[in-house]
Amino acid sequence: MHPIVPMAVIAVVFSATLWCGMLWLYSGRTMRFIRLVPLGLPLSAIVNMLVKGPIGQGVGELSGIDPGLGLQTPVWFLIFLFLLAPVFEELIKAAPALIPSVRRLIETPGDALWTGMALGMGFGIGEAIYLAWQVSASGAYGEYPWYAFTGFFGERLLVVFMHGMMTGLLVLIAKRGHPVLGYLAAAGAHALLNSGAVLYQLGLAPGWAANSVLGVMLLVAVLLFERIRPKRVAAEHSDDVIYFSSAE
Amino acid sequence: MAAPVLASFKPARSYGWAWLIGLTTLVAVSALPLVMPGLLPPEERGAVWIGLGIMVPLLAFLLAILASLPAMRYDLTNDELMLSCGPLYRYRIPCAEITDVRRTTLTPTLWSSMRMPGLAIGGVLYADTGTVKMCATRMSRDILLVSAGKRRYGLTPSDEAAFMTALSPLLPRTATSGAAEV
Repeated sequence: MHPIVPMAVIAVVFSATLWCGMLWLYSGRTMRFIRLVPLGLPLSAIVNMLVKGPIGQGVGELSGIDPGLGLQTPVWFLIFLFLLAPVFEELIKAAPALIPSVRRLIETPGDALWTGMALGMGFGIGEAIYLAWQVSASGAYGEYPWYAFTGFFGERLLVVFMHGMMTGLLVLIAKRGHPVLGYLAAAGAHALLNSGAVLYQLGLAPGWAANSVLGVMLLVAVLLFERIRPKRVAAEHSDDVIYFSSAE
Repeated sequence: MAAPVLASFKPARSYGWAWLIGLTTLVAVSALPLVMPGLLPPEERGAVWIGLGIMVPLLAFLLAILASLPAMRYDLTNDELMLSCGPLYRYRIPCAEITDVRRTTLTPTLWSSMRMPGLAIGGVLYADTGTVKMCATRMSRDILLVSAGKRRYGLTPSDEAAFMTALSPLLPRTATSGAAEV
């Protein structure tokens, strides 16, 4: 067994527990939206194997470019490869929201946010499984012990939330009548999120800079989440039991 | 000399300790690559020391909280309510300053704090009330929220009725008191 597998299991179980727990708590202690998470699980494998892979390879073959050349690759092709993930992943992540039974769930902007977050989180968890499978199948890093993959754990834990936020934003803005704007916002955020990793892979930025991009994006996402998520309405305070109050 | 304790109350039971053990294990596993020889190249020795400088105090802090959990309690003296969880967390609330006591459900935010299912300790930022000093075995539901001036405290006594019976005579007399559903 490849040593990434135990860490992938920990990452998937921990991410699913943490973020589904968060979704349950913030959406009003309901399972309505958690039930949508499995819809996103296969989408990463689908978009990577059936869309991004063939398109990247096809365009590379047509133009006679080997995508593994690093900085020797023409700039237009690097940009093209860079845009593949945001453009297609943001489309496919939100696609299940078009299913009639899912659409019926989205009655309010809050419902839209939770629906998008559930689909995005499902995608993120599926992506962790897909990436672990890819590493395992390639045999790379097989000489390391399982606990050497804590970087994978930490990154995937955060990325699951980020995927949830981006799709949540898309479905929320779409619910407000601006689906194209929502898609552009999600794809733009996705491109920014990936920028650090891409620059690192090209040797144009150190590892800490790539991690800093993720950290800054996470901070922005948390700020945004706290701003746009539905707040507890006054009626929900009706369960309060007041023992003592000096208020007039 | 400290005033004598009139009554002492334990918090409600919870599985917060299990979550804390899980979190501590996770941090310990994350620190493993830093201490295992040969995993990191020699040129990253600086990063190892920075990592250890963060991880070791964090682990010590988590272990200290874990060890303190059985000592969590709420003490009442003639004029103070004292919330404590070992030596790390102690809050003294003068009864004369208490303006509101209610059982409520709080909405946590995503900002980092020492709270998890079944446990909330220290300053925790909640969406609907702001920062609450917590010494509780629940994170958000059925928290006994005590307001004193601009400060708020959260606790979860195992026997809430007995706790309120003991606390009520110590509260300022000019206010509305007695349980009331709102």
